[in-house]
Amino acid sequence: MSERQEPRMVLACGRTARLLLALVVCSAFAAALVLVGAKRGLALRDQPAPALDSSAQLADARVDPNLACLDCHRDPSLSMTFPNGDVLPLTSDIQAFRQSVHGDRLDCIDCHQRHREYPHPALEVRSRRDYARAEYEACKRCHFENYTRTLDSMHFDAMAEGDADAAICTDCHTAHEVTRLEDSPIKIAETCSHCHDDVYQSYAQSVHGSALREENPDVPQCIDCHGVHDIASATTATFRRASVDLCAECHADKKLMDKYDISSRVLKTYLDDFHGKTVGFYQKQTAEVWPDVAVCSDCHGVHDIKAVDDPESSVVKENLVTTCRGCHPDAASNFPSAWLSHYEPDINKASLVYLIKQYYLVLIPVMVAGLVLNIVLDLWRLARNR
Amino acid sequence: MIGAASRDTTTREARGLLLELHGQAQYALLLGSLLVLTLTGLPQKFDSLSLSRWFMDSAGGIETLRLIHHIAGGVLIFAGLYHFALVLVAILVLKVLAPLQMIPDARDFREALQTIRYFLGLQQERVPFDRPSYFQKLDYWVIAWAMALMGASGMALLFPVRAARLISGDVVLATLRVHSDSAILIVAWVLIVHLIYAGLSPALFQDRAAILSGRAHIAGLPVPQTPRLASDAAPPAADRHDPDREISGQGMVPSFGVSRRQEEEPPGNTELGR
Repeated sequence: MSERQEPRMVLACGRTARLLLALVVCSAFAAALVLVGAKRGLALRDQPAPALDSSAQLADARVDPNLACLDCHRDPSLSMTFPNGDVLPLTSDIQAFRQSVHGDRLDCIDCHQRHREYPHPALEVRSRRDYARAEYEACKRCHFENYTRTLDSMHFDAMAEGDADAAICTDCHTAHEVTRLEDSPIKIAETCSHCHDDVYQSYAQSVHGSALREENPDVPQCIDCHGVHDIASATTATFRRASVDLCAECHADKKLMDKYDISSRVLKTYLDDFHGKTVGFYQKQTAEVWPDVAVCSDCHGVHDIKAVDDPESSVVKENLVTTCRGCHPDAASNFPSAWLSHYEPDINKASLVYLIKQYYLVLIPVMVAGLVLNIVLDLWRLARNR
Repeated sequence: MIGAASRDTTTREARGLLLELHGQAQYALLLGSLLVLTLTGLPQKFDSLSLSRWFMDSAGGIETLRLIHHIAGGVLIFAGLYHFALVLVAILVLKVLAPLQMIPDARDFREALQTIRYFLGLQQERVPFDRPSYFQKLDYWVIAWAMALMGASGMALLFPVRAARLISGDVVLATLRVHSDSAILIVAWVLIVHLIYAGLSPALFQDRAAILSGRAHIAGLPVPQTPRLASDAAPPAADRHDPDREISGQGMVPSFGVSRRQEEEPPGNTELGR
């Protein structure tokens, strides 16, 4: 009876062990599935938008999202030809871009959003310039304030009038190698020279330009007079009227002028004299009228301003009458003496003007006081005699 | 003899009437141009005042304001030349010597001194004037000086290149100061003497209405039978005649500015509108 029962017990123990083993194996398989699935899910969330087709690309995209673009745009022979025959190289210098102000902030598709898809959508522009004009508005997504200012600029006006070459953001700042221009004042002038080379050459020879080339930070460069993004036309009555104050921003700054032993009273002496008096009227009135009277630039020059002791200066004594004849063609050689040359009259300089001024300073109050006294005494005597 | 005397009187009356009409025309030109010059000149002198800016804008801007100023200046110069020509015609052609009475002499200085003594209480009675007073002469010459100075300096400012050729650049430089400061002097003089003083001191300026009428009588001539406007037809009796301190006429310069001691009210004065 006992021999028959032992095999049954062995048989029961074997079934239990197999069942346990199966459970362990299944649990391990399930756990492995969960782990793999979770890991794959995380990896997909990190993946950049463009679909990648290899594990190598996946790894690269996690390092630099632009690398996918560079797969094509690293090719030095890559270019596109516009219908008008213009050729646009499409090779990107990623290192130069990385060193730009945008290098650690933007990726290719942040600006080239329409090229997010691949194959890229076809362009509907006829020339390389049209493409640049179509693309530059991408700047306003981040730089809306400055972009808005450009709408008030003469460049935008020119563009609105059909000038395709009117400057846009990328003409001054470049597209991919944008640097902080204010760090290099001479670079600003050079940037403007890309379109305004004749003006730049003239400026470079001037007292301001030559000092700028010597890295003097005190001298004005293009944007100090013309503004930055809302660059106004310099040929309007408004600009002409304001040009006097523009020069005065530096030349009436006593601290700055003392540094170079230049008088800071030039604005006051100008406004007290013939021309300045009239310009003062134009500045005060609301009507927009062209001030047909000499302003600073008419005598000193516009971009080619020389130091007043430079023999080539238009205001040096030998050249002054020629300068006067610019507006007064019949001016005689003694005509410049009808101008105070920014001096304040004193007993040594313009003594006649000084003496007349002193004469009236005494005469007017004495006359008025005398007449009033006359009236008072007359009335007093009339009252007394009654 | 009586007939000849009558004809002579009639001729002299006609001359007097003619000269008075010319005098009034000159006065109208002077008063009008001075007023316009002041209104258009002071905003330029005191251009920082908001009132000046408002006036300048209202006038249509500095260009218009200056144009009006220049035209008024031209009228003033014309009035001056007109007066000078009339003086020459009166003296040389009509043989009326009254304008010469405006030349100052020693008696004027004596009367001025006496007037000062009177003002200071050192003399009881005011000096009786039986001809243009020293003050009227002073007024006449101040205005004459003003017209000449403002006219000349204004022309120099308007034509600086030619002025520099004719005179010198230094003088042109000084004209702005002269023109600007003299303007203040003249405006102050006209305001004080012709408005305040004439209004307050009837002893010196008896015919207050003269500032508007510009009428003056010529010394040595019978008072002409001038058609008069109804508004100035009936001056107060006290103003019309005071034998003790009579100064008929007024101190207005462009007329001859001379006066005539009226011994009696001229008969037969007719008045327009009556």
